[in-house]
Amino acid sequence: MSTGFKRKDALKISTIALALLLPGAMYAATPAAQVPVAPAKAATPATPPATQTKPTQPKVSSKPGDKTNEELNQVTISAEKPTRKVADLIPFLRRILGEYSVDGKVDLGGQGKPDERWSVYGSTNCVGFGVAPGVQCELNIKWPPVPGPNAEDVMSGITAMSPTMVLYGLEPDELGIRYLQVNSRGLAEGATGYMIDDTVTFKTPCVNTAPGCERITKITARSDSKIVDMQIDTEVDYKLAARFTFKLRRIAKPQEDLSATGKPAADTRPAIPTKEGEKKK
Amino acid sequence: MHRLLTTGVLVAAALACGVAGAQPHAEPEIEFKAALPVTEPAAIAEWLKRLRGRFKYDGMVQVGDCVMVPSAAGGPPPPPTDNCQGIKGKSDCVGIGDGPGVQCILNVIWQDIFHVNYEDGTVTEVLVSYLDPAMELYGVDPRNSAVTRMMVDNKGRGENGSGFIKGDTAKFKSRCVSTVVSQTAEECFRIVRIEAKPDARLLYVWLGTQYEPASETTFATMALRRVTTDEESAPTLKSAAQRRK
Repeated sequence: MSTGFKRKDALKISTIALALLLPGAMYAATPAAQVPVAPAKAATPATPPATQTKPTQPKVSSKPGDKTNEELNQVTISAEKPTRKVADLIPFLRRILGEYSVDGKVDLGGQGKPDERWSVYGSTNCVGFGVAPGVQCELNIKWPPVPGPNAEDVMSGITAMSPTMVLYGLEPDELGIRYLQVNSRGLAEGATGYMIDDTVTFKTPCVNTAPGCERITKITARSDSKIVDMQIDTEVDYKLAARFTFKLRRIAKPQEDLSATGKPAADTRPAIPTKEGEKKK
Repeated sequence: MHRLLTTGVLVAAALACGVAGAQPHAEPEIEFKAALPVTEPAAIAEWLKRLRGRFKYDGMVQVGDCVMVPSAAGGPPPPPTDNCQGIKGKSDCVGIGDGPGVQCILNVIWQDIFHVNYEDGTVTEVLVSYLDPAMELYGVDPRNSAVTRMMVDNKGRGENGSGFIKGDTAKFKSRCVSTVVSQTAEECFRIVRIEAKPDARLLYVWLGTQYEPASETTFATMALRRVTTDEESAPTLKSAAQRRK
């Protein structure tokens, strides 16, 4: 949680916002621009909340064939400081323990187009071991295989997360949470992550793909919540190429329910969904 | 008669030496074989599959001299030190899906080793058992022709590193997890060597520590005896509910 908004932090936010708005303002000043751009309001010191999300910049119309028009998808400005302290990370690791049903979407183009979005289904089980604990998760997440227009392979079009094993451990010397993920093809990706509020973020280069590809995984586990949110972004040259959004709904607590009843809780997984575009038909 | 016999023996011996001296001395053939690095993803995957199965551990940890040399003055030999302890344990390694990834659960233990200073009463931790339990995960990094390994010990500390295979042996290197060594040395690496020959019932694991580029110390040697073959153990990872049955 925010501990207070200081003048220094306001100045930092103002500087960042100014740097983001300035190119847009300069473009708006040119005669070719038809949509006015809002002035740099963030230049004035204010008391914004601890976390604020800047809306998407307005799309500036341009002449046909003009390749200089670029749109920012999302800009997030946060005053929260990341934590790598063991005392803060251990509760997070304990929160992700349990058995889950998984549902969500995979966006294989990264642009939010309906024909590129597919529904996923599956289950996950995270068990702890040791004192801290260390956590091992087994993910079984599936979606229909998606070939390209010419039957070529589409990035992540063929599910390789059934199963996927993920191991989480504490990085020594309070550097964060270390994780390693091995999918059903044996490909390993690992990184050290930090925590902001209730979200842990990992960034790692993609394995077995072209250079310039980065995988960003965000796991949000709030206290007293039965839902864990997982978002996996694949960026190629800093542009979003694919986005996986999973909701993990806890159906059983870690080992506790099993020791009491000898059986896991009732399976409340949703029915197998279909492609998002087909639902509308 | 006796003189005749002696002469005959001497003549025979001289003849034999003469024959031997006439032939050139054959140099023994010495064949040097260096372990070849394994870089093909298929070969790396095949090596990883050798890790699958159930194993029983036997070995020893050694952090100093095991036996004290008796003094020159004589007297009874000093008692053995605590620097050496036996290792016992077991592990279970299974594959991940249809791929070459391997996931292992370890329960390996040895007697904790401490050094006690009887003068001021301080106790220094030297090597505390940290693999009871522990989890290991192995995967392939095709771009670097490497194997990625992560081990999380019984305190939840992660040890992550890449390894390269030469011949039948893989060597993994990772930064030391908050051990006594890492708090005093500038650079500390944990070295893990695993020898896994094809169709072998015995695998060998060496644990070591590297403080400087030229200084590497092995503190544990373990032999892993395969208890069951991988055809008997589950070839793929069962769900957690099935494993608990």
